[in-house]
Amino acid sequence: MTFQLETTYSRVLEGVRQVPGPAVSTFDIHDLSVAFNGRSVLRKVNAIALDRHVLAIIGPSGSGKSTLLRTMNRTLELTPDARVTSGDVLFKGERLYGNGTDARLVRKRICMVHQKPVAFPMSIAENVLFGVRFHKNWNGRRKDEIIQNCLENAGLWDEVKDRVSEPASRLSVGQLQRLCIARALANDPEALLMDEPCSALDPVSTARVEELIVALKRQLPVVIVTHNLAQARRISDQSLFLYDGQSLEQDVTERIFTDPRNGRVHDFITGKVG
Amino acid sequence: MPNTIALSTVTNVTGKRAYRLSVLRDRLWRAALWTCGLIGFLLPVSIIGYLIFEGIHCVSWQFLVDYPRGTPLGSQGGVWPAVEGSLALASIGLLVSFPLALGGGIYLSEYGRSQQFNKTVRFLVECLAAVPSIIYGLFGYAFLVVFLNFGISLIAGALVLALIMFPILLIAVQESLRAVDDVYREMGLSLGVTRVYLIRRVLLRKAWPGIVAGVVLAVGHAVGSAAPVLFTASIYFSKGGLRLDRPVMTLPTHLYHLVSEAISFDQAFGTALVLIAGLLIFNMSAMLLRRLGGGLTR
Repeated sequence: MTFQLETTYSRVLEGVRQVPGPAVSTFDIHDLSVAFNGRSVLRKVNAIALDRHVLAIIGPSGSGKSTLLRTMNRTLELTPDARVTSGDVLFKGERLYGNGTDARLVRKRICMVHQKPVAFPMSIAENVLFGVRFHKNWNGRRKDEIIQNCLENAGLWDEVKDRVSEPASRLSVGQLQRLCIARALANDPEALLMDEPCSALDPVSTARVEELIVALKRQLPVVIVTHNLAQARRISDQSLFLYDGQSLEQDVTERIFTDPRNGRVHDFITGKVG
Repeated sequence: MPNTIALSTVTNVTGKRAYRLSVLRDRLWRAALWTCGLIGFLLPVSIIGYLIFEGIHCVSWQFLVDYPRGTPLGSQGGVWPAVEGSLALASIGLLVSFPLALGGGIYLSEYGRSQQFNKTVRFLVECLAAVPSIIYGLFGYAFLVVFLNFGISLIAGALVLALIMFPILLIAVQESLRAVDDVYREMGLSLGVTRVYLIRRVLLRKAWPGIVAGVVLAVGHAVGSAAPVLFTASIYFSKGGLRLDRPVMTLPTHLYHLVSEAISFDQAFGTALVLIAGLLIFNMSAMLLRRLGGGLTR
């Protein structure tokens, strides 16, 4: 049932030619299987994510979308009993599950934005600097520079520039999600993973975050899990369809939505099954 | 008027009697619960009020800073050595038990992977918390005073109080850390930081109010009980001055002597008032501390 990576490559790359800029693969997921306590959740998943493109992972609930995302920066193992049983994720050619790969370093380089945004119990500025203070990756930048830069990139600076020393808990949910994005960006990540980043947000905040994602992909690859098919269509360049732990199809988003090869994908996209 | 007719028919069907009964029942419930709430308010207020009423005339600056005098000893003078002793016992006890309980609570909440082990430890700690304080006193006497040859001393009493506070503190730390939403852990760790950094900068801050509440409970429990210090640290009379290897006076044991030997009830009420006031002041400062940290813990 699952597709071969080579076919995906060729189809995706063929579609990419219409997108400006060079297309370099950053994530290569090979035959990845994951089990929770022996129960298999992902079965031989294959996928690729291209640099400076947005990949949307879509599929019904329980199909393993979030699990797949969590394997991509090794936060999967924060859940006890979750194991990668076969395959690997390559990031820029490096094996994320190879021996000697430092999971924390992986998480520093590949940051994740979660579904439910929360403020750490500190000021807005300190929230942004949370990872920087640990990793000490100041790279010669001053504190305020990082704060302003990251908040600007997250589209939050104008709203909070006069009160960055106030507790972050005073922000609205929509602002908090952008703060979480700023916090992730402060790590200087090489890729950004987003797990349904808009599902807790109102339509206006959602629109802002979507704009942000489209802006961010100019700098780095973005992988987003979404329940919202319209959103996937709006913001993603490629889409991966997961069903029951298997990758049924990956293609250029427009093609997945207009002319899917797989019957199940077709049924899901046309709303015949939920 | 067809609507009105229909409406009254419905009311008749439901039955006015049943309706009135349910309203009455609701009112009775409300009155009963209100009374229970009132008891919760009146009980502490009346006890404290009674202590103030009986003891205030005895309490003065002199009472606070003087040592017991008169014949029989304690019928006049003040309670300073007991205040000093209780303060020293509680502070040293807290100093010993808090770091241990903090570490234990953090371990159980954040590191312990084996459910079985966690549950066992937690069960044992709960047993420890349920042990009557006189048993702690006996243990302290047999083990610290006699076996380890500490003698009846400040350090022996402080260690016994540490033992009493430890389970209360540990449970408070573990529970308040557990109450922090897992989202914080997931989000923090997904930025590539270590668990220690996350605990220090996020989890402990979030758990802070609960931990402070645990400290208040533990200290109140330890300072107020006479039994554990009776055989391990306390002495009938002292002129003040603290040394780790010397016994001290404490407020609860002083109160116990004053009443059990019918030395002076006035002095006893004064002592009780000082003890209660001390605990209240401690509670309030803890509350302030909580709010101080609380600005950033939400």
